[in-house]
Order: sequence, then C-alpha cells, then structure tokens
Amino acid sequence: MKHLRFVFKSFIFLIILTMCLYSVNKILIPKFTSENGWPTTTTFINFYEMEKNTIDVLFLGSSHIASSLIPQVMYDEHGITSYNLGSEQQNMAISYFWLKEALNYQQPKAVILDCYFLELVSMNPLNSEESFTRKSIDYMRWSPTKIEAINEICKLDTQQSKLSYYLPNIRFHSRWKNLEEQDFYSKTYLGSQEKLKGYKILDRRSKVEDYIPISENNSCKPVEMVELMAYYLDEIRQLCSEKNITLILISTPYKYEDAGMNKSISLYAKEYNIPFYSFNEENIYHEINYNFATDNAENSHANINGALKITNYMGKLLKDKYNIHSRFDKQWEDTKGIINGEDFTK
Amino acid sequence: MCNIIYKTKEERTNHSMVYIKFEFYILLIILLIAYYSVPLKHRWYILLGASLGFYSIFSDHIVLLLFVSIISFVFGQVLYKKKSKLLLFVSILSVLLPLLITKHPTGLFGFMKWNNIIAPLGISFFTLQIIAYLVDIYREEILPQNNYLKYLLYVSFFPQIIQGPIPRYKQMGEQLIEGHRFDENNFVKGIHLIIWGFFLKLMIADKAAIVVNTVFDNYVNYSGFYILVAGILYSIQLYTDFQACVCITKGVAQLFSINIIDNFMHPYMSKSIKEFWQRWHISFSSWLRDYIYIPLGGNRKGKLYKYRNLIITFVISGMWHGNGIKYVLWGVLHAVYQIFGEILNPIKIKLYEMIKISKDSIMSKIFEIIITFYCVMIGWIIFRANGAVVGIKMIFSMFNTFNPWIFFDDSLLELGLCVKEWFVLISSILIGVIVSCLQQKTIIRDWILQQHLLLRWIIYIVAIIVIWVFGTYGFGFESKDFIYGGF
Repeated sequence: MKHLRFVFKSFIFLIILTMCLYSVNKILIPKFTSENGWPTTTTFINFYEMEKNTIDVLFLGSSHIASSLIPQVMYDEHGITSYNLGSEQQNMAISYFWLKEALNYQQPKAVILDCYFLELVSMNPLNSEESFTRKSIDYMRWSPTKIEAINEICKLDTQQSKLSYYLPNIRFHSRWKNLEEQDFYSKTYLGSQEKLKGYKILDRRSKVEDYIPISENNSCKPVEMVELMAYYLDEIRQLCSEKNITLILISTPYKYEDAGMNKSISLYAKEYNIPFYSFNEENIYHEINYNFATDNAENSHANINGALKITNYMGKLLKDKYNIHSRFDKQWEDTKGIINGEDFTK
Repeated sequence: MCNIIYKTKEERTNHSMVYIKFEFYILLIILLIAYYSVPLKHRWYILLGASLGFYSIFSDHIVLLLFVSIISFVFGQVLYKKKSKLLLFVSILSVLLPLLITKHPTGLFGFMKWNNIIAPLGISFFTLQIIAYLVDIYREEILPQNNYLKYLLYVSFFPQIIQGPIPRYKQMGEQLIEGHRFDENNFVKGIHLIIWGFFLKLMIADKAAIVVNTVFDNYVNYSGFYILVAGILYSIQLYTDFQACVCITKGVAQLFSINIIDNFMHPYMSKSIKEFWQRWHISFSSWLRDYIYIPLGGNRKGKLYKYRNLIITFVISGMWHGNGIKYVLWGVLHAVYQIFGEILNPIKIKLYEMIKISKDSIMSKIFEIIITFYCVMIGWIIFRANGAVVGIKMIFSMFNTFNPWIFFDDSLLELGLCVKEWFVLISSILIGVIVSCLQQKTIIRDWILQQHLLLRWIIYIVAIIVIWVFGTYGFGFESKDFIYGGF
C-alpha cells in the first residue's frame, strides 16, 4: 500500500514535471514570422486553424512558391480557396510529408508543387540545411506522419538527432540567451502577416536586367535530378494519384544556372502526364508580361508584383482547365482585399 | 605488432558520457522495475546481468573483464589457503598487466603507438579494486568470495565501473548481493544526488570547460590573468566534473538502496596539501596509502624514508592518471608540496606568533585555504596542459604578464562565454560553494526530505528546469565526457 502511494505520487509528479518542461520547450523553440524572415511558423500553425475540408488547392515547395502564389488573390480574383504551405528551403521530402499531413485535414482537388528543390541546392543529405528541416517539422502536429517524417529525416541525415525532435530543448537549448517578449505569449506569436494563408510578401525589386528566359528552341540537355528529391517527387505523384488530386508542377522565375533542369522536369511531366508550368520559359514569361527587374525581389523570389501575375495566371488555369470552381468561404471572405487594402510594401 | 583493438581518440573517450544520456535513464527505469519485482535473494542477478550488459554495450573488452575477474577470483581462493608473498606478487602482476599494456604501452613496448590504443573501459578502476581484494585476503582482512558470479558483480557493478569510486570488498561485497527492499527515502535521496550531479556537470563543469579549452588549447595567445582564470576554472571544472559523476554513480546505486562511499570531502576547503589528499578522490588516495605508501614503510623509518615514500606514491598516482611526463611531474609536485609543507610548518607557526594571529582564527584559515587552492591550481595547470613543457610555460606566462584590465575591458567575453553565460557560471559556482558550506553543517538531502511535499516538489521542479534551460548541453554543446573516465 505504501509503495502504491509512492507510485501514485511519482506519477502525479511526473505529469506536473512534463507539463512544466513542455511549457519551457514551447518558450525555447524559435518562432519564425514575417518579422524575422520567412514566416514558416505562421504558415504551419495557421494551416491547422483552417476549417476542415475547405481548401481546394494546396501550394507546396520552397520559398519560391511561398512568395509567388497569393491564396487571398486566388480567392478574390477567381473564387478559389487555397493555402500556401511553401516554406523556406522546403525540400521534396518535407513537401511530401507536409502533403501527407495536410491530407489529414483537407481534401484538396489540386496541388501545385514548386520544382526548385529537384536541383542540387545544398550538400546536406536532404538537399537543405538542418535548420530549414526543423522549421518545417517542429510545428507539425504530433501524428504518425510526423513520427514517420522524423524517422526518415534522421535516417537520411545522420547528423540530426531524433531525440531532439521529441525534446526540442536539446536543439534549441541555447535560445535562452535570445528570448523575447513574444516567446512567452501563451498563444504562439504569428507576426503581422498572419492572415496571408502562407504567402510571404516581398516588396523589393531585383533590378536585374540580364535575366533571359529559357527559349522554346533551346538546345540544353536534361540534367539529373537529385536522386532523393526525385524519389520524393514520385512519392508525391503517387500520393496525389491515390487521392485523386491533380498535381501541377511549376517553376517560378529565378536566375537559373542550368536550363537543363527545366528540360528534365518537362520530360518527367510528359512521361507521367503531369502539367508543368515554367515561368522561366519565354512563352509563359512573356504571356504574363513578367519583368525580372521589377517583378522579382532578387535573383530567386517573385516580389508582390510578380506574385500577382503568377497567381492570376495560375488562378485562371485552375478554373478554366482543371475545373476548380469558385466558392464562398468565410475564411477568405473575411480577409478579402487584404493585399490591396493594406500596404505591406513600405 | 600487438593485436589490441585500435580506435580513434573520439571513440576512446565517449563512454563516460553515458551517465547523462537520456537512454541510460530509460534503461535504468526498466532495470529498477525488474530489480524490485524479483524475489529478494535473486535481486543481485539483475544487477549482475545489468552490469555485464552495460559493459558489453559500452566496451569491446568484456572478455578481458571476465578473464581478469576469473584469474583474480582463483588467486583469491588460493591466497586464502596459502599465504605466499610470491603468489601475491604473481597475482597482482597478472591483474596489473592488462592495465600496464593498455594504458602505458610506450613504457612497456616502445614500438606501440599510444594514440592508437584503446584502454578497456574502467580498467584503471577495477584493477585497483581487484588488487585491494587480493591484498586484503592476503592480510586476512577479508574472506574470499566463493561464488564467482557474486565476485564478478563486485568487479563490474555498472554505476561505478567507468570512473569509480574504488570501493573495497568489505564495503561493497555484501551490499551488492544481499538484495534490498524498496526504500522510499533512499530512492528519493538517490534522485537528489542524480539531479545535483547534473547541476555540477552541466551548469558548472561543461560551462567552465568552454573557457578552459579556449585558453589551454591556444595557450600561446594567453598570459597573465588569462592563465589564472583558466587555472581556477579548470580546478573547478575538474572537481565538479568528477564530483558530478560520483553523485550520479552514488545516486543510481542508491536507487537500489546500495550505498557507495563518498569520494570527496570539500577538497578545496583544505588548509594544507596533506589535508587536500585526505579530501580529494578519497577512495584512490586511501588505496595509495594502504597499498603503496604503508607497504613502502610509510613514515615509520624516519623523515628521509617518509619523503622518499611520498615521492614514490605520488609518482605512481601521476602515472595512474595517464601516460606522460606531465602526470609524473604533477605527482612529484604534490609530493614536494607535502614535504615542504612539513618542513616549513614550524616557520609558519612562528610567523603566526610574530604577527599575533591564532592559527585557528578565521583569517588564518581563509589564508591557508587560498594558499592551498593556489598550489593545487598550479598543479592542475600542468595536469591539463598539452604536455609538461607547455604546462611550465603557461605557469611562467601567468607570472610574467600583468594584465588586470582583462577583467574590465570585456576580454573575458572572448573566451567562449557571453555575459549571460558568465553570470550563470559564476552564480552556479556560488551555489556550489554555499551548498558545500551547508553540507559541512547539515545533510541537505535530509532537510529537503523533511519539508512539505509541495515545497519538495517545487524544489525539484525548479532545479530540473534551471538545468534544462541553462545547462550546457545539446546542439552545439555536445556534452563533455566525464574527465576521470579518461584515466
């Protein structure tokens, strides 16, 4: 009896201790909002705030897509409900796991996937640095998908610690030196652009005049995709096929080093009968009247002007070609005109 | 060439960290459940299984451990029946040989490269433990253990095998095999010790190590007060690191209601080097006293012999710590300290009389504590430096540069710790000093146990959160091995 009391007391103590340590970890874990760079935290936390089965189109991929497709404009102009799950250096593996996770909450009719990470971006085994993987996974809710993602990530990148995903203090423990007021808010601080449904506004102009889009008759030879990224592209394709989701590949304007990758993606798309829209190709580039100097923020990302052009093009396509119908939804209706109404470009 | 396993330095030194690994504590919980679930008289089997499992996982030398334990077990039986000095010598030599080969290969075989050899885990500790067992049988102080498995448990007991302490058979033998009932107080006190061990390791030792490593690894760039700061911090690091491991070891053993001897008695509160050695690494220094110093004649044959014996004992102490002249030099230095301490003692007393200060006054005590600490610190500089010559150079450069401005112009902030971390380190050291002072008057763990449950829980939770947040571990701070695990 005496021992039973001790076991019971220990159990209660451990519950209290776990709750305290969970709260401490919540404080220590970094929050990424538009105030300190790419709003990955905002993107993922807000995704879970969306009502179930209300998103018709999901955007996935790297920061290229996060700054190129504006869900609110997609709704305002075309009545399409969409969410941008793109994030900083999101590699194909992360896109796959986030798609899998998103399907637990939404039933999208189409997925638009950015193809930037099919080329070699980093020497890291996952093709993007560990910190970016953490940014994407740390705010995923606990589920079998998250556990699978952690296991896969740590298997592929042996430098990462599996335990540190479960106990984030191991990874972010030195953050106590840089804690700010927002870290102590009971509700995670999401920054001033929290209503943009994953879109990141960039307001600079690249002023790059020497960008040349890829001509239709270019003689580039296809280059090999990063093997692991190609594997996860296949996984995404199969998952979309299983769930009857239209997969659309895109490549947003950036100062590419080798046009061969564009060709590789085209060939892949052709092989599996997947649409591929490359805004680096001169036909689309000119069709939307894109100007790299004024519509890109720098060498890699579209600014808000460019994003408006890309979004409108894709919105029209989704409606006309892929039968994504316009619909009324309060979640987008409430923020209607936010891009035009608020001046984010100061 | 010898066929001893070759490994990198990193592989050689990452064993002792296991005591602060999350996985270790998960296994420990399973072990505790198993231990308290089986009948009392069979509980030692769980400890034996755990110890052998632990050694198999973290060392490639389980066969060597079994071999040495079998040899010494047999010698123990024979020595009990036939008292023979020759037999004792042969038994000690056969037990000592693996230690000499693996830890001092250059001394034995000139062609072996020190850097490529791996010393079996805990060999320095279990070898001394076994020697003590054999000598004690020879001296008829103990009876030999007749059950080999029970003896094997004494040799391999998992909480202490990596870095001691070095318990005698009469202290541990029976305790390990008698089987203990669950005792709530013992259990909670064990957890107190583990938490305190983590505090010492992660809040002080590993934080101080950042500054210590910066200075010692780039010693040519530092002189004067930099060396003094690094020397003081290394003294603190070494003590807190070792004490942390002992606390965790004792704490883990206490979870099974097994009491392991204390290895430290506030050594930096010593007023002489002699007293320091009565308080520092007690199980080792008492081993040296009982099995080296006294058999050599101790202080029974006059002063000159006493000094000779002191030097021999401390040279052996130095050699036990590692393969290198610096360890011998460090040992000799401590012997010289003690010899001079004794020679100069009458002068010291006269000096006190002249300036009319009682040798029992607080002032003289503080003065002696500071001087003793300073002398010990000089020794630790040699101990930590990358070689004896480097150590001597560092000591000289400490004296020949006067740069007190480093305490005022942020120079110390360039040694790897920012202001906030310095604040945490210094605060933690102060907490350590306060606890050390309190421990001399009361048993803090008993005091905590007497408090109301709510207060106790608050103390535990605050302590764990403080270590959780401010401790030095995790990404970018791969926790350091326990230093003594490397000896």
